[in-house]
Amino acid sequence: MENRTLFGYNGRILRVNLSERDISIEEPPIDYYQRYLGGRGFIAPILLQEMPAKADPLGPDNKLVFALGPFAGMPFPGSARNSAGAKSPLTFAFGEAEAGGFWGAELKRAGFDAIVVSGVSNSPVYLRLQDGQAELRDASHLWGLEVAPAHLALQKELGDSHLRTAIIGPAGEKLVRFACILNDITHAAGRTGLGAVMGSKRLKAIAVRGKNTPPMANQEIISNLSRWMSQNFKDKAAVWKYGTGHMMEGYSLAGNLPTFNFQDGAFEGVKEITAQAVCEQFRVEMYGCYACPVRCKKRVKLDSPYPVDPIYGGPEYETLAAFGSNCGISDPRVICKAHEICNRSGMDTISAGVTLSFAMECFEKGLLNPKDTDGVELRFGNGQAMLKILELIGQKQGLGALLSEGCRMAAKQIGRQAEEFAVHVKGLEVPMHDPRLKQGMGLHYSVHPAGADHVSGVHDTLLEKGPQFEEWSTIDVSESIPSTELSPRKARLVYQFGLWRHLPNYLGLCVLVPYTAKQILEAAEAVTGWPMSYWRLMKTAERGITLAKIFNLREGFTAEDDVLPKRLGMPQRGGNLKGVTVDFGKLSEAKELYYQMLGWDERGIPTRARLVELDLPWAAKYLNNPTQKE
Amino acid sequence: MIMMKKDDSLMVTVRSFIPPHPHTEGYELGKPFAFELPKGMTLGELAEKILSKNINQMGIMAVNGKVAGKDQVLSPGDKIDFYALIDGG
Repeated sequence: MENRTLFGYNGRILRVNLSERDISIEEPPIDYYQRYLGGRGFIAPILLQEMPAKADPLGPDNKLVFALGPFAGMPFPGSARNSAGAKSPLTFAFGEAEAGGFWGAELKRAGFDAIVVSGVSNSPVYLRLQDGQAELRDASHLWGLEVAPAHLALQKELGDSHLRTAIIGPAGEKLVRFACILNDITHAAGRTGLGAVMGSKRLKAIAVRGKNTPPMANQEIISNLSRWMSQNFKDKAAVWKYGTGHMMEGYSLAGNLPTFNFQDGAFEGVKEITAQAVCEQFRVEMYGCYACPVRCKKRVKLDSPYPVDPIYGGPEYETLAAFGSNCGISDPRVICKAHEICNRSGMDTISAGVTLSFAMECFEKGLLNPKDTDGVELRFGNGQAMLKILELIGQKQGLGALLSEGCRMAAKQIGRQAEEFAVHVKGLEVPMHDPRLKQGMGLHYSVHPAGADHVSGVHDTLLEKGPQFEEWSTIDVSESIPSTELSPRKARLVYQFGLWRHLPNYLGLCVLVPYTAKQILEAAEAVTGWPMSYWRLMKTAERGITLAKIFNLREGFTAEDDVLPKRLGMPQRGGNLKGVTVDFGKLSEAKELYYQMLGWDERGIPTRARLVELDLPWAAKYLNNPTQKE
Repeated sequence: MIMMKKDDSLMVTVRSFIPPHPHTEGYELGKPFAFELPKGMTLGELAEKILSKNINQMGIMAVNGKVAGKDQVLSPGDKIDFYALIDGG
């Protein structure tokens, strides 16, 4: 074995100051990697320690961090994820998102574990990375291009058809607050507006190539795991067949399918918009991410009535529901087009869909009128209208300029009772999993520093039955709790199982590849060579959550921001969950218990003892002068 | 059409979005397939029989398009759906 101290990492973090056009390499000590692990774990300490309080998220003081976990780029299924983070221009809180594809793996092969971008360039640039080298290059000719043309232009310019890119579209350049960053055209780091942060820095793309994967501590274990997954994934999970969105009929039956801007949880037209329906009519192929045999991404093509270019992939579940049931749309062609518009211009489909459903409800209830919409009848179910306004959002024109701020800010400007229709947490639009069914997910949405994020949340339905406890008892989760229950024991579930749910974003692992907890533990040990335990991994996730919380406290966020929107405290109008609400009194009690389990006081402020226990005593100084939010 | 088998069994149609494990003959994800079962079998027993190791993924069950509980006794010609309730992307 090669004599080295780090396995699964390169030991190098790239620093890029765009204001100074300065590029440097940082080589963190081994205990940095052991303490924070990677991905989201790297992002929180960087943002907290290196950014001033109250920095403008679209200004030079914001830092945009791309970070890899130890798994990223290693040759086994599910290792294609990278994290991105910054102060969010949508929430003004800690912002983060993940994406798959090939870019993250390529970054690992190019010799870096993370990229920290600071400052603002005075003209458009892109960052080129190749085999340990980095350079900034002019991107004036790319500025204004949509995502696919920009990606293809970079491949042509650099003469490399295998070049991988993380790129923004016109929406990011125009600072749409929910603009996203796209890996290899179709894999979005969607949430919290990181594309706008990249746009504000005039950084159009990061183009990466590399050929040196850092070694793992135990290649044999990883090879065996990879072989096992390749042989067994079809028997363990269903996502390979149609991609995400194949469960939508069940979601609707259960009352878990956001419909008409979360007024309902069941949709009459659901059969028309499922992944199965989309695949049977419009799919040209399934494709996947680096080293993954699951291949759960669908690529669609339409010629009429809306031409949809297959280069932009196809809609996932969140997109099918956000633009479908939640906007009252049962025409899958409209949804495929909406998805393409978002990927072309670089926008998060969840925030875009929920902001549009908000606007539809405002229109139907008289808070917006045809004068505001340039005559567009922006009603639920009107697909043409939805597509027209979505295009305007990407261009920040007309009503689109208002809606490009996200539903929270748009509601403030519209006034009257518009806030009642704005379904967000801390300004981040709520994803397509209804807390009136998944009450633990609702608690997670409310307390998560980045706002309503479903990927790191607990899906209560996963833990409702019995036999899986053979697996989850390893992390001390062994009680069957109904999904609709919100109680102290549910708070414990969100804490205990929630830490495990956060973990893939630290390791760089995809949650759609059906590994057991034990396999993840073994892989962590085999890649890094460090002795691992469930406890150690979960403590690492807790460390990241706590640092992100301190970031928010410093920005002026309080326990009053850890709430769910009014809409979710109202009963669904029909279906399986008719009459069911989130009880905000129980939510408040669960939140306080969750805080206490994390070692936070009733204001959500971490105690000194817990910071010491997490080996983060240095973070206490950021709690000294919490100031009021502006 | 209601399909009948022997006196002590009946036929139903099952559509599962959870893969049976081990594999069940005739199964294709999300497509209906005919299944013969003994009279008196409940929905929960059928789910255990078909899904086996993957029963832990069960989120919601439906009979003839309506949400149904595990104790429901099945009738000839019933159309049964099994769904997980975790999705994303």
